[in-house]
Amino acid sequence: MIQYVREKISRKVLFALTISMGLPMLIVIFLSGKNQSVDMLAQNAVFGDELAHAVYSGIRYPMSVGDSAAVRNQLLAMQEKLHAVDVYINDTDQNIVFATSEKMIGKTIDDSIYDQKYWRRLNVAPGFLQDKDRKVSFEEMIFGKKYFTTVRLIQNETECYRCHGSENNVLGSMVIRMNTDKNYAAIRGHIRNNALITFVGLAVTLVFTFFMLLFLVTQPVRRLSKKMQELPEKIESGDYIPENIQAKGDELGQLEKTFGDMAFDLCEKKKIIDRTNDELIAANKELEAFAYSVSHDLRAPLRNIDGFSKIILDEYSDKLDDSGRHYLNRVRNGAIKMSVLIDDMLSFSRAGRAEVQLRTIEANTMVNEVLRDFAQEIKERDIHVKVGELPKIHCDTVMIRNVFANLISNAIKYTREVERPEIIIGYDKGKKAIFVRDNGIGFDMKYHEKIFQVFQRLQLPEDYEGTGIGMAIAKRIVDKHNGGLWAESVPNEGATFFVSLPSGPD
Amino acid sequence: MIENPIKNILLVEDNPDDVELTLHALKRNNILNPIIVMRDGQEAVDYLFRTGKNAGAEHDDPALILLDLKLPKIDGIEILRMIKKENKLKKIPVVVLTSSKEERDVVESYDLGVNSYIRKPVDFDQFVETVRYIGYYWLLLNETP
Repeated sequence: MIQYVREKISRKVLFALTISMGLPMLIVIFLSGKNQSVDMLAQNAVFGDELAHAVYSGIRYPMSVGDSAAVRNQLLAMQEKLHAVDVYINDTDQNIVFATSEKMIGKTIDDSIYDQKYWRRLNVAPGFLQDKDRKVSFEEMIFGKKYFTTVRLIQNETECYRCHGSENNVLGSMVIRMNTDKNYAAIRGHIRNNALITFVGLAVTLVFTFFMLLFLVTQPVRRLSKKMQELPEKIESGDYIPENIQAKGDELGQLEKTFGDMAFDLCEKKKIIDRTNDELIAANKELEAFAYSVSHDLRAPLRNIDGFSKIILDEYSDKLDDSGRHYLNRVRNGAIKMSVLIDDMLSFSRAGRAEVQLRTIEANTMVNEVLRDFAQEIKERDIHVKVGELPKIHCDTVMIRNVFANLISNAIKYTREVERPEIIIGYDKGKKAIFVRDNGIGFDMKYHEKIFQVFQRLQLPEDYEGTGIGMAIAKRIVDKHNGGLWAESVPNEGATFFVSLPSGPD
Repeated sequence: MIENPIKNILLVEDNPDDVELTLHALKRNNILNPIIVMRDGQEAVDYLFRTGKNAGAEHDDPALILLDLKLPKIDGIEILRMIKKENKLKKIPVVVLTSSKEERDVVESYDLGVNSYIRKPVDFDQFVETVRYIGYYWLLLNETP
């Protein structure tokens, strides 16, 4: 039930309305019913008094002349006029002397007062006999029917002197008993009608409110939420046409306008992003075309330079002296070196463009594979290599293998002059990085940044070969992984290169 | 090969310097097959398919095609596609001999059924060596139907 109400705004409002309207209405109906009962009883009491006076004035004359038969007939005649009302006149011994119903005459009133509590009060209360206006009214149930009964004492009056003497005493009592079932039925009918009218009214109100809610709240909210749901797709596909929504005053209208504005902004931003993206794609294509052209077109003349130099050297060697041959060889070296530079540049550019394809691999496996590639040189130079326990890494295995190949080949290269070359590969838990440490020539930390720049070298090419691209490519690859690549070194003591990669999914 | 022991080699290459160096390299390796040189894609296609100015020409198909990729008019990849689609020509070994080692060129060439893809080295000694391997493998070792 609670879940059902919670599902929709309209249900919540209707529920609140039902509770807030229905409950007070029910209370009002109940209270008004109660009041009507009280009023009815008060009216009955007044009616009882009036009836008592009427009865008395009716029997006054027959009493004064002592015509008890006339009194009796008078009362019996009343029965025809007053339905549902009984009048009994009793003597001091509570025997019914006159009554509106003949069969009651001669019986004891005791027997016909069912609620003895009231009756006892009449008889027993000591001050009661002296009281002039002594009477008592009460409700009682007789055979499942409700009655309102008024009992009053009859004082000896002038009219009574003829039979009862002139003593100032109580002669008996008069009981007026009215059936109130009809009154109560009327009140119940009243309550029922009220409840029915209230219920119908409430139902009409609720239905009306429901439709109002539907039009004023639910539909705008649904429209809004539908719009919101479609928005990402529309913005993505470029179908979104910004609406010029005017704020319609209420909160929903403002919300709709805010969303509309937001969508418009998003659309504009999306357009900018798309444009930038297109430009980037175009630029990238241009770069690729450029790289392709460099690769193809720049190499062709180099091949020719080298080829024809070689042909001269081989076939016209007798026409050249040693210097001539020497210079031609330098021409050839230059051409070949330039082709290496072109290849390196292309590799660097490719490293920047390539997509990273992530996989999880044991770093130990990767490092051991790389070391196998250098096995011959390691063995020949008797390099002491120690590999510690390395973690699993989440990376593009081809790219990161290239990084380790670079670091290890550098370590091998720069320990060339060391008497007992040593390479340690391990994992630094504090720095969360795999390191490659050598005891080679190292470098001055003030050149740290230069190591990772394209074609930047700290050593003379005659001493240590290379174009200075390897570390730049390695740095680019690690950057593409959002990782870190850095080094620590002391000149002539060795260098340590650290690679940290973001941890992958566990 | 027994009936006609010396078949042609078709060299498709637009750069005259490269043509000369390739011829030189072939000569150094004592490859004596006659070399037919075509300087652009259209010429090569006309020669192979006996179309255009070669319409109706009667000549044997070459024993080997050395194909550059970047060519005027019709590029090497397109020529390769045409050769490998044509039943009469698809059995001729085609060696792509080019400056490019772009991944997509290599992949596309192999997708189209190239027999070898070789990148011309800058170092002429290496180039001569490469040409020696090509001749040795495709003209001597390899059996064609």
